[in-house]
Amino acid sequence: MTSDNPKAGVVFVRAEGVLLARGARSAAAYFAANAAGFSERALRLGHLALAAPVYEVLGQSDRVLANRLAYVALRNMSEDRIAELAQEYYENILRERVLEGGLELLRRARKEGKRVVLIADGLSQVMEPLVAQLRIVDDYVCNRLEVRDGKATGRLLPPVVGGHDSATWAARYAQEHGLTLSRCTAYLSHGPDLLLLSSVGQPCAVNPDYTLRRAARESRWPVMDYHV
Amino acid sequence: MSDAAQPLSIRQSLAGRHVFLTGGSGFLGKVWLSMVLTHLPEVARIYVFLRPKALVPARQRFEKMINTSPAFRPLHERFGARLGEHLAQRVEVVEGELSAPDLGLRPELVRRLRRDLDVMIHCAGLVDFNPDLRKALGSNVDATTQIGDFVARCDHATLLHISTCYVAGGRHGQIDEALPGDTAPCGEQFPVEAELSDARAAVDAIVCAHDHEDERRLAREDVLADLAEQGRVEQHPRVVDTLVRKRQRERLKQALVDEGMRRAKRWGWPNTYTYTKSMAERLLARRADKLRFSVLRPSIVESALEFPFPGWNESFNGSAPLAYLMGTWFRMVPAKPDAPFDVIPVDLVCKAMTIATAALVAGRHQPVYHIGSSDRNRCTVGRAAELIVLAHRRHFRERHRSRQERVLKSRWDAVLVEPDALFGIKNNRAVVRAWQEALDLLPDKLRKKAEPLAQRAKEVDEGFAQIEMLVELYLPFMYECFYVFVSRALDTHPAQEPEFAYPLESLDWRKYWLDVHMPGLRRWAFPLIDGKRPERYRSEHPVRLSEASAARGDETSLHSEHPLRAVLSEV
Repeated sequence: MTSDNPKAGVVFVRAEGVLLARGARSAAAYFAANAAGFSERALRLGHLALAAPVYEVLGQSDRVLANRLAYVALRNMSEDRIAELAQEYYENILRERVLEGGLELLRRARKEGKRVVLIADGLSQVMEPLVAQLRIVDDYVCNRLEVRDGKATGRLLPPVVGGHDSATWAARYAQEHGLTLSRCTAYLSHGPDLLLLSSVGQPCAVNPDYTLRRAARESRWPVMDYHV
Repeated sequence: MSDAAQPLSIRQSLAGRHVFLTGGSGFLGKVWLSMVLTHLPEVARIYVFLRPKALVPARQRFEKMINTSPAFRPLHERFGARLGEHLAQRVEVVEGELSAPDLGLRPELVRRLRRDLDVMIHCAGLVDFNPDLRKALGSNVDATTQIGDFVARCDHATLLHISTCYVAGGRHGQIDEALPGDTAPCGEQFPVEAELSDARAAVDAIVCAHDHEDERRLAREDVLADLAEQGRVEQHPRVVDTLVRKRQRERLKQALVDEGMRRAKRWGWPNTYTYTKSMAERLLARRADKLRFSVLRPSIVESALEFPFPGWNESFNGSAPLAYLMGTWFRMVPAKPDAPFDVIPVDLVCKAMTIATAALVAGRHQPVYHIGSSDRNRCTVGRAAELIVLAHRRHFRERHRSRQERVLKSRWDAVLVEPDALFGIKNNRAVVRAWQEALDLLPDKLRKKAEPLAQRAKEVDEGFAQIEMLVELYLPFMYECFYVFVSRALDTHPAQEPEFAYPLESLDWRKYWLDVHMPGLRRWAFPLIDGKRPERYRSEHPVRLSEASAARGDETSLHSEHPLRAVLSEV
């Protein structure tokens, strides 16, 4: 489903924080806790526990490395299990954590004829059912796991979503659709989204983390808080 | 599709042809019959061979099968009240004995078949992995020999013999689509005729030995010991005699089962089924000069992909027992994750059978067709096990399941291990036995109090014994052998008609196992393992054989019963 008038502009929306109350780490933990066999579960959860402080620190500045660290916990997990667990995670956890405030932003953008583009740290297997259910997202970019011989290698395929590169990706996207970023809107929530926010015409920090909140205050961008 | 592949029109090849089907009451036979009756009205006549069973004539068995088997649902849905008429025009139910000369058919029918028959499809066989050798030789070898004789004496008939990929025996690697040579899987020369007479002599000797007075005495001792253990010493002599006769039969059967397995293993086959099937193929191959035939070897035939409907399954020798086991508390399944697990949906096999039949009639057939997936779209044992575990997980997590199932059992994943793993079945049994022995060492007073524990230990040991037997039967397919069955012969004449397309490469195993096969097993196969009866189909327009035509000896005439009559007869 696409918007009626793409020339009206594009709205870039960060999934985690704006639309969803759960991030990549939560998904990785769910996958790890439901790996095959008890010892595997313990190992994967242990890995995530060790990575948690690093994730917390890096998350404010560069989520690429943080996401890479989180998804290493899925190394050697079968593609079949990841697909099944992703569906479960979406149905049992994520679907209940879609933020009404975020949905409202998306609906408003669609009403204005803008294209809605989701930028997500989450895995494609998790985002696909979400996007299909929302039916108001025109495009999305998310992280994809590398799979070899039916098993995840634990690496993410480029482009890895979560870092400053989302600004470059968004500029290319706008260009492909005959737009300039100055005519675009962005609802973003993480520190690494700073570059993208500063390059669009209508930036808005939504439920921002500490880094982004400070930057938004300094740049006088509007800030919205509805996170429960 | 190979370069030389020339499409073959199934409709044109089979138009006006007379086809004889054996094994029409089996899983494969039923689906094939239903498929052909539904999609190929061009076939002139199908002779459905059924044996009378427990005094029920073949005609009645056929009638019951058509009316109650879900395999025929598409046929009922398509033809409704006209089904009786449709069947009357095309089906002739015949009864006889496959291992008898001329298949035990009526002389008039034999004459007619010799003149008219175009293809014989020999689907019948004993598919248990470890049947008693006498039965296996009768059903799998003697019947095929008689059928070969019968077809050879027909004016122009050809034969499609349904075998199994696993006649390859305990070999590794790529298995070509070729008739067996003179060597057994163990590498030694295999003189099939000599082996057959030797096996028959062994059967006779075992039967004779079990009819001896000594054997009766042993059986009686066994029975009396069991009765004493159960505290039922004072039984009527007649009851004891009956129990002794039953025990004798059991001992004879077990001896024949053991002999079959012993011979199979001696030559390198994993079980009696594949050993006897291979003998049948070898005997056919020796008549290649006088007989026009093809051998079609499916791998493990599993739930239907689409026809008669997704998930239909009646097979007990495929993945059903294993899949069931992996849904229990028993977790350690001995298997090699990288070995191919060659399963193939039943409707794909039936399509392949139809294509091979058309090729036989058109004279474009290949000697052997492998119908398997390991060559073209491989699913490994590891992947199959993972998908089974995930399917169980999905099932146990349904909202209406108990808390224990949702929280614990859904996470109790089965894992693949080496056969001698620490928590494997052998060590589990050893622990239970140690427990039993420890209970035996207790002083009398305590032992009486511990009686429930001893009883429980016995039950657990019996359960483990069954699992151990199952694991042993499946070990050759999941651990010991690494087969890849080359499956290219069918590509030499692909079907022209889209409904007979063979979409093996595009089969998505994840969707198949999670959405089709496992729900199918749960609905149709697991109830049987649980000792329950799976649901049956109830057609709105039951087909009844005409009593009048039956009295005339015309076995073909069928008509649809008025629904009201069915209701009244029930009242």
